[in-house]
Amino acid sequence: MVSANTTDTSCIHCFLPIDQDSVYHRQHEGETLDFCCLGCATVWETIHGSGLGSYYAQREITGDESPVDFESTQDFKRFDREGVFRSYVKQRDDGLHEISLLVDGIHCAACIWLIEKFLQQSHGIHEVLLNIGTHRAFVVWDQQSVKLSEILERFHKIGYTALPYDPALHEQHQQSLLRQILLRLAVSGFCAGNIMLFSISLYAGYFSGMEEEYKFLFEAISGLLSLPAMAYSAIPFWQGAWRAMRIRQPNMDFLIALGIGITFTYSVVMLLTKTGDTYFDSCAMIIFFLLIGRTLEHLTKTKVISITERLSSLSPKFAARLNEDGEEATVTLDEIETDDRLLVRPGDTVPVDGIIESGETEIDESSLTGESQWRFVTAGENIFGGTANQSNAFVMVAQAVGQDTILQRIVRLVEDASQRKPKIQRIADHVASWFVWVVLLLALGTWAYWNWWGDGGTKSPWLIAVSVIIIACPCALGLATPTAILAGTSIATRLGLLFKGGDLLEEAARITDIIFDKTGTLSQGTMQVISVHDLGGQKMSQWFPLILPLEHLAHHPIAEAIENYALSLDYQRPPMDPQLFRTYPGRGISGYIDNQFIIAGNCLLLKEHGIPLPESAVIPNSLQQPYLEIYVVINQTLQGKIVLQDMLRKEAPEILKTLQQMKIHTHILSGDHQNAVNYLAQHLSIEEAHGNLLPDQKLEYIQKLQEQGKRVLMVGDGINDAPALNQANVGIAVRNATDISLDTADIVLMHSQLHGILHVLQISKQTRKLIKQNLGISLIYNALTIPAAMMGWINPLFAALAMACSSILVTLNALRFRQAGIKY
Amino acid sequence: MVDFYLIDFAFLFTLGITASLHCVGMCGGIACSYAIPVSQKFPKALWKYHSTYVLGRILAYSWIGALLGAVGMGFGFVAGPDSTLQHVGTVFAALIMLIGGAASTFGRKWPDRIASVISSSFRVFTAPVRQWSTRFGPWRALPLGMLSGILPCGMMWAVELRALATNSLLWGMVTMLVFCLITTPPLLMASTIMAKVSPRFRFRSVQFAGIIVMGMGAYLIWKHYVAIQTWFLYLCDPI
Repeated sequence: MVSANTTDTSCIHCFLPIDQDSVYHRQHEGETLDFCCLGCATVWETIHGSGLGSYYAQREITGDESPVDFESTQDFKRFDREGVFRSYVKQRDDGLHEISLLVDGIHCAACIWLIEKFLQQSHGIHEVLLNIGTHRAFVVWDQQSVKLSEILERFHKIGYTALPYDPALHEQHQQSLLRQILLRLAVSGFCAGNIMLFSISLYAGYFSGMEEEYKFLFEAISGLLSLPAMAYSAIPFWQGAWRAMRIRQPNMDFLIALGIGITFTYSVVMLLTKTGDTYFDSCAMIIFFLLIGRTLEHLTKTKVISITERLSSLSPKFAARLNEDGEEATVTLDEIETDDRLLVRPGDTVPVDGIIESGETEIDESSLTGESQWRFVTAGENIFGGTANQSNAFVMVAQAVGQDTILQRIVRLVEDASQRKPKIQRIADHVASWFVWVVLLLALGTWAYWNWWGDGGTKSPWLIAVSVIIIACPCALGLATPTAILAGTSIATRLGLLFKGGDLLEEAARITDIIFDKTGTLSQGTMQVISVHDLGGQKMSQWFPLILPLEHLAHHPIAEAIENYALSLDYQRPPMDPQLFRTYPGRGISGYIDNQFIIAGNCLLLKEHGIPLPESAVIPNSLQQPYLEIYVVINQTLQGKIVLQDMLRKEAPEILKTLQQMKIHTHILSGDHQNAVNYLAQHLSIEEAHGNLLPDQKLEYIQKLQEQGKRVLMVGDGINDAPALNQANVGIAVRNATDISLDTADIVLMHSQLHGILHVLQISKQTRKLIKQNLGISLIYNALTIPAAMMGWINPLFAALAMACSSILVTLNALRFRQAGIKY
Repeated sequence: MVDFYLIDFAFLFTLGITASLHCVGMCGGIACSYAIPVSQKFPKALWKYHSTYVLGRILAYSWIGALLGAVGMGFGFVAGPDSTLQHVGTVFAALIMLIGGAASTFGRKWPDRIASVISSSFRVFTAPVRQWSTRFGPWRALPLGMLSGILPCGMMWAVELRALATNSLLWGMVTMLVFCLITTPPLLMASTIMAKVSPRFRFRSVQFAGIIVMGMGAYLIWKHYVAIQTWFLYLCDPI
């Protein structure tokens, strides 16, 4: 029937072939455009006339990417090859191997339970942890007993496809999955919408009468229209049900497939025998509603789990490596090795961790630490992969590459966090798997009752049983906790807080006591000059410059503070080399400058040199004030005094005040002198203050609190406080993520702001509240709807709608929390 | 006399289903043109644009349907209820549907001259609509939606003729509204459908839609032929 005059030319707007007898032309930028009809030409004019003409250019660019073909990647043996194996697998200290896998085909908590149960029973596999939100599996196995390819084959055997996790693959997979879901949704929506229109006619016919022929015709058309929904849109449910049947463990897909299968078969029988009403509309609508739920779930999860992808994407794809002759070569990140020299231009992202060899610049580290101010760095200073070079080109030497960079360690931490499940989630997953059996029994009982004893009137026992099956799917129960945890960790990461496990969100919400370390936690951990006083005949401008050459040689934090202070006042260091320079550990320095003997030290050093102390002198570690005084003596005459202090963090008073308002007991444990600790505690209104403590004494203190039933959160700098951080219920390291704290604490604040502590507490409390809300929603939903369905009050159509709504409600509740954020 | 029965719904639904692929090709471009930049810059606001676009379509289709139904109703009042003239008018509309459907099915466009005349008269409406749609914000999608109700489109003319033949303001509106609602979801997913469905398949669907239009026309003629025949027999044999 195609016109003989159809040409090879296609319409510029709709791509349909153009009939050469009725081609329509429009002129655009000196070019003649062909259209198949006036309609297309008018639409083209409208789009251009409305200033939306860029659509045609974008249409060309936006190609249809081929989806990831999970089926074609089932050559699992290739993952046993050494190179591939090394890229994805990590060997642990205990000799076992671990890997993160991306699993295709997970829909519900029952899937999680099934995979974990099946694989954990397999020989050689020590641990399997699956996350419903991220579709990621964390597997620990003994390479001597089982190979990686065999593990992947075991996934395949029970109907799931697992591949080593790769961010790029994951991204593509998510996009492909979304396209597929949308298409299935479109087909089911199209079928359901049109069947409903026929159904309206049929319903109208019940009241006003309808000829049997018309009724049959409309029901037959409805049946035909439901076929695409049943055969295409419902494929995920059929596949899931088939998997469940193969391993004799029913899941939620099995329930849905059973429900729509019974309804469709029943309707076909009724249509052919003309003995009752058909429910093709219910079949299509059930599929449509459930797919809406899955689409929304998918979109929400994609939003929530994008953290690691975002972090991973910080790394550039290529870097400029300099060879021995200084020639530049572009290499991929995999090719960079330690000690390689790399050129980083302005605007480039630093490829790996390293040290600057030459050049100076400003680095934007906000991607790692959340700190918005750029850091000025110069030769000899450390820089980290994933940060951005803002000012000048520099040459760096690679020190940590691949999985050893700070960025990759952070990514691994976030990934590991998503694998650690809270206790409440483990219980929910287990309950969901048994709940499916309960639902089947309830449906069977309902059918038996209405078939043999009940009087359902026009209601079919089959349809009442189907309503029970559909409405009782424990989707909401399975989603309740993981969606809340994902939302919580997502907000936390956005605020620069790294939780090492989802279970910590639960634990941190129940904290009763917070213990602070002093130096580096409540104080900045660096000395600063706060005042300078003249005590002799010379003025500061005379005696102060003389000590600078000595301080320059000292390489001590106090010397550094004095040098910085001099710089801030524009004092130049005299170009003289000190003679007979000497350091007195814990007391000070001395030396000759321009034939003058200079001493810079505390009162103990002055005492040693027989120099009388002024009346106001501060004896170290004996006064209440945590100041440090350095006296300057020139040729045995006291000339001046420099007062230094380890500055309190600006935000500390506010944080402590808020914690007290939250009725959390505060403690300070420090190795510093008791008086200094007391002073700080008094200043910040901290309830308990203990000084002169060794690391093991801090640990004992925490143990005692725990014995009293308290739940302790320890805030430390992650190095000296390692035992205490481990002993506490939750340990927080308040240092830059670039420190060793990444390895020691449960939670790491990637920036050095104490506000992070309040964020941790609030996110944890909100997440716990969210988990309770979500579990409450799912339990109330099941408690109300299952009895109603068993009573025959709910038809399958409404059951599908209610079931989809419960899942959507739980997911949206989590999304609401994520959108709302936190108040501090 | 209202002329709209359940079987007409069936025809409309089937036509809507098959013609929606044609709509995706033609009007889908409008939906994509505003949706693509919005989804890139303000993805959260896309639903507002889609809502106003759908609102625009509903307004335009329902008003045109009501107008045409009112014209048919007015014609019925003038000619007299159930008069032969009214039947002849309906059969005339049905004949145009038959010709138009055949043109779509056999690869011919609706007679060019007629199409050009109608199209140029629509420019009176499309010019201000374009002007309005250059404004920013979600409301720019409203005139674009309204425009789809006044485009020179054979499929829509067929439905408009059917709305005219209902002889009722209400049922004329319902006729157009049903067609509008059936074709709206595919339009909002135009980019996905365009990527998945080949032009050849869309071309075939247009041909099939032509058959349905012919069926609608033929059914109308069959219904009203009986009345005309009765009148003709009465003329021949008044007793």
